[in-house]
Amino acid sequence: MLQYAIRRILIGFVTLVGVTMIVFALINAIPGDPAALQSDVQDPEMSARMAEMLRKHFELDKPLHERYVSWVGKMARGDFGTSFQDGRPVGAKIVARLAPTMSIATLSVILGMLAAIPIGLVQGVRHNGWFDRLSGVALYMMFAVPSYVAAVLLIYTVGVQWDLLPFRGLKSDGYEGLSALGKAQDLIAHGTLITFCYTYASVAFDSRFVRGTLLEVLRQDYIRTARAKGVAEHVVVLKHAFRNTFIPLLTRLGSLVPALISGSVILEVIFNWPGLGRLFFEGILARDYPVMMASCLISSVLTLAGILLADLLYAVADPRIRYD
Amino acid sequence: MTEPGPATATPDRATLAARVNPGFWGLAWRRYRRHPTGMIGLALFAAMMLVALFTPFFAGRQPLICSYEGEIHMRAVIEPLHKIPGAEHVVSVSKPFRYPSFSPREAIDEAKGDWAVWPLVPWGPNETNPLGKLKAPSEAHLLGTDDVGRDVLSRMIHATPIALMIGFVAMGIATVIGLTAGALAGYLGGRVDIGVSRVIEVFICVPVFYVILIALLVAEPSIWNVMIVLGLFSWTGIARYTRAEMMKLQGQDYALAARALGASTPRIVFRHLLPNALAPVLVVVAFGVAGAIFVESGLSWLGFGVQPPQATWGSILRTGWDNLRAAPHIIFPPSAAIFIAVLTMNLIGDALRDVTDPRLTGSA
Repeated sequence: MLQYAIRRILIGFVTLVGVTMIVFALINAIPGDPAALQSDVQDPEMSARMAEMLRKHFELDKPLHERYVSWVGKMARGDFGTSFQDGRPVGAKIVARLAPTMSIATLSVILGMLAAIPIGLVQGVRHNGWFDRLSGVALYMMFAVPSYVAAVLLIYTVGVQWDLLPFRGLKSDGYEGLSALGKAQDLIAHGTLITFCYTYASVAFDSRFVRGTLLEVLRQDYIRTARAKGVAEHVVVLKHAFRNTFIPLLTRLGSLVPALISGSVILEVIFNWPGLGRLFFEGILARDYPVMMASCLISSVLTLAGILLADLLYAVADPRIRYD
Repeated sequence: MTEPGPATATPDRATLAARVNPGFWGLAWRRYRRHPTGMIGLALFAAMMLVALFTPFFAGRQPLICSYEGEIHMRAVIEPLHKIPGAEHVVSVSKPFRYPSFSPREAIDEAKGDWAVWPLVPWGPNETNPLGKLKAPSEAHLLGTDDVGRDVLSRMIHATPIALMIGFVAMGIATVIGLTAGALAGYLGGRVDIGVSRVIEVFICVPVFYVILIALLVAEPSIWNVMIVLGLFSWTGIARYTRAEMMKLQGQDYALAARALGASTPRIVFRHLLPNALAPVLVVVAFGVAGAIFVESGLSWLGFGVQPPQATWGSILRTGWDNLRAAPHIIFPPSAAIFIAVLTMNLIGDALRDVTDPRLTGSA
């Protein structure tokens, strides 16, 4: 197991090199020059001189491969470089943005599972009953609503028309003056809509998944045995069947994490949420190469980690699976 | 002697074989026709295709056919034909209608004996009206107008072919890449397989949406570039399914027979094996089309997709978002359209899986 994990991590590093090389080459192929973008002043001669200086400062005058190697070298020492926009260290920017994105992503995974598992179980047990059909259709429809569409509609109804919840940013203006309870309330109110938009699609998908696996498991011999020996139905479902439906659900975690992180750009822009996705988007608008590189790297690392974690959890939960 | 039996025409072998064995796709179609949600999906799809193919009949500022000063003009019908290369030498738009400043709505005067058959929505998608900005739905503008006074319904209709085209062309590109890479990896195995699998792994870890945004900065965000970029970043799923199918198939007897007969590798792969691996791939493609429409609308929303003034569902949604308080009516049509398009492709994809998966269909 440990050996497997180490091997996977090593392969992961190779993959990361591939990813960063592609992204680095792409970013540097963007037409337009961040140095020229920032040095646009009235006097053209002055502009050119400033651009020259900035280019040297940003190390844009060196050839591509040299810059990539120097970027990797800095990276290995934990230095993400400095932002082209304001000269602040990119590492600090990323750290500041990590918590809002990760907290929403984690919350959405947990809430999604908490909602999807009971729905899927009831659907599977009362297979083809009214709840199964009704919720099945509703969830299927929900799955076809893109998250940004849901966000716009929810902001309009809940945020604008009913004026129930705030939808811009992480905190209210008077946040600092609030009591601890008020602060918590404020954060929850701001996070509610965006969390819902992150979550509902995976509830739709996962409940179908749970229902499907449960139906398969309920046909197994050991379930018939349990029923034959007189085990109560709810024990059969919750103890015998559910445990085995939970295992394939773990693999879903692996594919959920990248979707959550990569899907965060539009939602974070809509909700003005100070997360990684919006940092990247701001970086792209300002042609801030170090910020763009760092956000791509972080999200690849998180994706790799998510997939690996899901595979390892899979082995922990299911003793039949062994990675030797 | 032999009595003449009931008059039976003796069908030749080919038609007999066709009657007895409808083939895999024939059977699949028979099952599909009995698949209710699949047929709903197909009907919705047909409706969208109708709008996409006959856009000028549904919305535009030019009359379909009209009589103006005693002459018959058909600009709205002729103009789309000009997309066919060389067609402008055969049919051309007649004179006053050729000029952009000519407004048929004002010029055609029924009192002078002119008449006209207008499209269902008699407004052009890019026809602005400074006096009618952000107007709520009314009889003249069924879905209202946007921030420069353009008719929302007309823009919605003209965005339909764009959305479908992006979905299908992007997935077409992805399918070609995915099928080729997956088939070669699955059939050849060894180093090719390792190489392709590594590349797939890199693409899975790439933050796709980020890289699509960067790629659209590198290549100007024209409609074709959007399709190419979306295609280049969505082939991995298809490649993985194809690879798995090919690994199953390459050990089959008929593959061996083809090899024994001296067929070349491309012939075995693309002619003998690939058609049998197509069914599960088709399901992935259907969902992929939904995904491409979904992503393109998101890109348009961010301003990175197809560029204005071309109407897209995403850009209309964005206009609605920017004027959320003043004109909330704008957000609903594009929301509904994106939802219906994605739902349609999901319904079709699920139905395709149901009818082509032998494990699910049983003896039916």
